[in-house]
Amino acid sequence: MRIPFIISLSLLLSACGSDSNNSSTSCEIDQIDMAIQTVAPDFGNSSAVALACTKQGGIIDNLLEKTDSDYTLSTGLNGFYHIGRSGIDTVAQYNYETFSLQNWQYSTNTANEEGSSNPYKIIEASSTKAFIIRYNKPDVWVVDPSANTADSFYLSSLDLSSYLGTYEVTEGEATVTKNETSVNVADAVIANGKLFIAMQRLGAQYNYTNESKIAVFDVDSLEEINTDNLTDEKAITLMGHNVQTLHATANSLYVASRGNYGDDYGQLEKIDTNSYALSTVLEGSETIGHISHVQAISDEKLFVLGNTSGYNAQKEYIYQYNLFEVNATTNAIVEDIASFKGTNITDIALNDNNNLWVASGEKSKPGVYELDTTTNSKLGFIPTQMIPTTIIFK
Amino acid sequence: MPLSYAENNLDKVIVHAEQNPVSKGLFKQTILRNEFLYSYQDLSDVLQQVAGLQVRTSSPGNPASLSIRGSTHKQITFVIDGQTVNFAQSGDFDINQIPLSQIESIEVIQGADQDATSHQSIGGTIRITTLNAKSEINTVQLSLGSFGTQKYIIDLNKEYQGFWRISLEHYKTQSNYEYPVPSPLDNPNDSNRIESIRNNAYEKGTALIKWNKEINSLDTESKILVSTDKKQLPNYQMNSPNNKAVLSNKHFSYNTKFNWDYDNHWKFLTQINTNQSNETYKDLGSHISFKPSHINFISNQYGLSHKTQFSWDHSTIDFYMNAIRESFSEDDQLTLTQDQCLDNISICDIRSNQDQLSYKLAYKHYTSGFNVFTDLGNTHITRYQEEKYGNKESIDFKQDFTTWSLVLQYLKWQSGLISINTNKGIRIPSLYELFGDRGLVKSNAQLSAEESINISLDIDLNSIEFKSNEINFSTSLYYRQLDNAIVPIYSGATGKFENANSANIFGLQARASLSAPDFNSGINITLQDSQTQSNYASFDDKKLAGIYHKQVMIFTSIPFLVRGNLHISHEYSDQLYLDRTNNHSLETNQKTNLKVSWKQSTYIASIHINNILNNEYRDQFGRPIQDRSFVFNNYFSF
Repeated sequence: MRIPFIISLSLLLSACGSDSNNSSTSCEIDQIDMAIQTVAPDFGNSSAVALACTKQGGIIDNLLEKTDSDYTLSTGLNGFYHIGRSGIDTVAQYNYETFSLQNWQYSTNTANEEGSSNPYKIIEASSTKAFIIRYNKPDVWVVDPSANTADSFYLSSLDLSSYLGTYEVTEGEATVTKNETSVNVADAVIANGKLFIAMQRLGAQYNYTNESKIAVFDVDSLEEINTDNLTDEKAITLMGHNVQTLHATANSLYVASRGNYGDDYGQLEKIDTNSYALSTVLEGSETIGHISHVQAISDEKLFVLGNTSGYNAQKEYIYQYNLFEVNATTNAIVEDIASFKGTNITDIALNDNNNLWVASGEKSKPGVYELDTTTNSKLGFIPTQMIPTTIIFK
Repeated sequence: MPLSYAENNLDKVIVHAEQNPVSKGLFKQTILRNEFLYSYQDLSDVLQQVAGLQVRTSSPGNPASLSIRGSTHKQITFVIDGQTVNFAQSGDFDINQIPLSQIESIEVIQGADQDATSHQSIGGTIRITTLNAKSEINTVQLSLGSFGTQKYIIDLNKEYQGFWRISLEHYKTQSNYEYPVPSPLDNPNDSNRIESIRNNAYEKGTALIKWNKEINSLDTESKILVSTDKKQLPNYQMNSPNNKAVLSNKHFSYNTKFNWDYDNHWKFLTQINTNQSNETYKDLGSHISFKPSHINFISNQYGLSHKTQFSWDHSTIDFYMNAIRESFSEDDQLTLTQDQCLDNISICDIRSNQDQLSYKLAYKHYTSGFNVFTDLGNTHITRYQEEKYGNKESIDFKQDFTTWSLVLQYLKWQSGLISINTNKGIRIPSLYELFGDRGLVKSNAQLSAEESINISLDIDLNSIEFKSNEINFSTSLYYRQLDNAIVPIYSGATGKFENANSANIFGLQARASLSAPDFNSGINITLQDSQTQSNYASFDDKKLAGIYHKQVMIFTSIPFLVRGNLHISHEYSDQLYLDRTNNHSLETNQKTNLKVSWKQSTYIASIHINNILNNEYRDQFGRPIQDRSFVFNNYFSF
């Protein structure tokens, strides 16, 4: 059974190649305002970054090609970060203007640290302070993005080990309790001067009944904030399981949790970033799907992705998502956006104009759509060579 | 056994100038034991010499990947002692499971195969016959090589109530070659530091017992093959000294053949067999996997086949019936509850079954000038999968597949042959492709078989005398239209297999060899072009990934001091794309190998130096593999 095993592992794999520009419309350097991570549909041996100019509808595709597939992007004040996730464990910084030149690349593992750290995201607090979330580890790194050496890049860690759980395995005839080694940080954002860290806490056995939590740290002092004076635990315990993404508005943090891969469809929750009060905005369902992503313009206007992927009547697994506009003050779905219903959506992101960009993994037409959020109608489309998986803006 | 007998047999082994073992024909080639045993290390090493057949090897213990005329490995049918051994679950077979020392002959058919017991395959057939029980040679082999390589072989024969043959082989290697570590454990920022690869050892033991007895016109042969192997799995990224990931396998196969020559017209061959494999993957430290892993994979295959042959004048009609029942189970030893089975990662302890029933009619007509071979067959398949806890739905699946072939041969000269070969071949989706693993890889019950129409024109000009030299020349032009290629398609973390691609392949193979009194030389050339079609934009209008589009091998063999022989070969391989998007390709691969052998009575010694120029190269997955290596072989016959 080596071949299936290898194919399963290919999700971790990746490789490199030449830059080329195959798009019909290109961009001037100073027009670039969006970066897109793309990957070959078979996730086999190819990924690349595309830079786009959204106003002109142009794109420079197939940049930063890698033979590893598990790459993502994070936005920065002066450029973007290219992050090699599971089994790659690197973060590299680039400027939009000189995208072919790497400013630096550092490992996201410390010396003698076993196992892939699996970095998911870098969140800049300033030009000299940023946070790296590492999915497979029980901490968040504090780093200096302006550092010139690997030694000066890493500053300290935010310790999340108090949220580690335990799990049981069989060893021979006995059931043995083991300590988890990761809190599975899936996302983090800065809001109101605080870093909100979303911990799935699935553990080594991927247990979807484990509680997801949000730890809160002061960005300046790096001290953990006690969000609940009633208990010893400082973090916020979510009602939804398996937290996926966070998005903050002025005073609110929206949290999308997908639940499991069965009949727990997760929920969308709202956290007051001052009082840490928690409330449910929307529960997932068979119709809505598993709540997998949220982007919020305001408390009255959110965009939520529901994942309804599953088997069709012919027993073929189909990738399909629904995109909803949701009002978090009334906790109601405003619109089930028909133009994206049942399509393969791989990411959503708001730009500075509060238009929503939707990454489409449709096989015959991969690319990114712009959605006018005042009318929820499509404004434009920029095609990509491979499947877009992450969108960020300059 | 009289010494003279052994001498005679050894004389066949090393002629004064060693021939390459596959000097005749391209479309159908047979390589005999005495042509490969003393000259090659393993089966993939031998097959590497076959023009048109690409063998992409990796570290010892990792399966080799074969391609015939642009096919994939899974599109080739592997047959051992008449039994198709492609496992239903994975669809393929690791050719290095069979030690070279236990092989009597190897047949490579690059296309239509009228002797296939079931359907025509897309790529062709590799048919292996294990040791002949009737041979009277006993041998002992001891080999030592670089990277801690050791091989011990003993092969004994005995006549008692028939003929017996017992062959034992033990092989092990540390395979701790140096490579650039992307992110060394003790200093992850010291990228590409050169280290010896850790946890890459491979060890294997194999025992073959064969018995043969002939009573009147009934020839009965039984075989038991038992093997165990253990492959350590390196973490290429960090090269951690704490990595203990390992894949171990226990394999058992049994086969009995009844061959009855009733009279000059009727022959009957009936065969029963079983193949069982128990594989364990263990990575408790998560050095390779997402999470701590301890998984057992159990495969069972039971087969019954029958062939009735009726011959008259210049014609034969063969009727084949072949029934195979296979089962597969995957048991995660660390998954304790059905809740855990609901996640998107766990493989959920699946069980799969497949029943395959094939009928085939083949007609062969021989004359002094023309031969015509054709066949038509049907394969009916029933498949079922369930998982242990019943949370993920069970799936069943039934389908019929029909294939055909037609070969026209024209024999013009004394040893010249022109043939046109055409067939419709298929590759039935593996159970894994159809059902996934119920975790990250989802099922697709709509998956169709890969199909191909293959056409080739083959010309062989053999044994042409030129002064006191002999020239052999073979060439082939081939075209393949491949449809429904099965491709893994992912979205986010999950994937499934789809009939996503089609492709055209056009190729030219040529082989020329010259045998002179004091040397042999030859050249193999394969040039291929391909073009894909796909609904996936990034896979459309590309070259096929995973095959070399250009390959040239030259070789020369020179005898010295009567008993010695020097053989040198050089391979040039180019244009292999690692990915379907063609964004990444392997660098040109050039490898030079040197072999020196010496025969003294019943003793043969040889030294093989592989990759003598120490060119760094990578396998088809882009992984660094072993650089220059040597092995010193000693053969004793008695």
